[in-house]
Amino acid sequence: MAKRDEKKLIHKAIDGEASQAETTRLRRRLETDGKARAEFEQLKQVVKDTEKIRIDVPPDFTRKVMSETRKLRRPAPPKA
Amino acid sequence: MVDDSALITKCLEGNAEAYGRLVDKYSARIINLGYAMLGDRHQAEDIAQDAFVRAFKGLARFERKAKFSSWLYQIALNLCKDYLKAKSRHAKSADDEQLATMGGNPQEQAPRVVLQTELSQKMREAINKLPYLYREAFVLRHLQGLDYRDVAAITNVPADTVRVRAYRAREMMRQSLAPNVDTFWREKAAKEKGRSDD
Repeated sequence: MAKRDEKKLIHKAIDGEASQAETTRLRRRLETDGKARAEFEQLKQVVKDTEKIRIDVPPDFTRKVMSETRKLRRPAPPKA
Repeated sequence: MVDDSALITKCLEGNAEAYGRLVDKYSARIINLGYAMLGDRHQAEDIAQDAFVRAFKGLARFERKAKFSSWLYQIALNLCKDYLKAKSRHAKSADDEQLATMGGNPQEQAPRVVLQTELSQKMREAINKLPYLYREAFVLRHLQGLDYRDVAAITNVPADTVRVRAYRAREMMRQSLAPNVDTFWREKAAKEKGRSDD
């Protein structure tokens, strides 16, 4: 498999878009190529760790927004 | 559960509580979008607040063919873009001033490197280093968990373009994080081993 195709397939698998046949092809490739396997694992880890970067909403956030909206004119429905 | 369209209708009829429910529903997503795009908690909160206020102002003009969440994402992303543009203009003029007074040696102004061992900090730094359009695609896809069709609708580019941007962003993230990922897991394993030896 060409390096470019291998990369494409790895990203397709990361996105969950690889077909059954592509998944099998990639698994075989990863079994025999340590470098490709490491890259695949690192990409999976990047995605997994990204999902963990979260901050909490301040408890008074909605109240602050609503206090700002109260200063505005009420949005009116479009005229028929 | 009441859907967004029904809440918008109630809001347009004068029910303020209905808009509060939309804010409750989307505040975490919009604040975290801002945080990932800007890397600053306070700015993220300010921009999220501004996005909700602008959405409220424009609610009567909102075309319900699109999702309310996509529209809200667009408003927040535009605010992020404006903020980053203003920030880079300000940074450029500040840099020019410093260079003028220093005789133009940028090396002398290199920021002090602060060593951070936490992987999450490294992740945030790596996201902030991504070019804007890659960061946008990456954050919407992986932090917000949207599919490429939704990301395409929000960013107004074809889904295949978004896919390529996310792909390149992941590669850049992998390359900038790979040594840290290894170090982090090695340190973590060593710490855990130390604890079990006690």
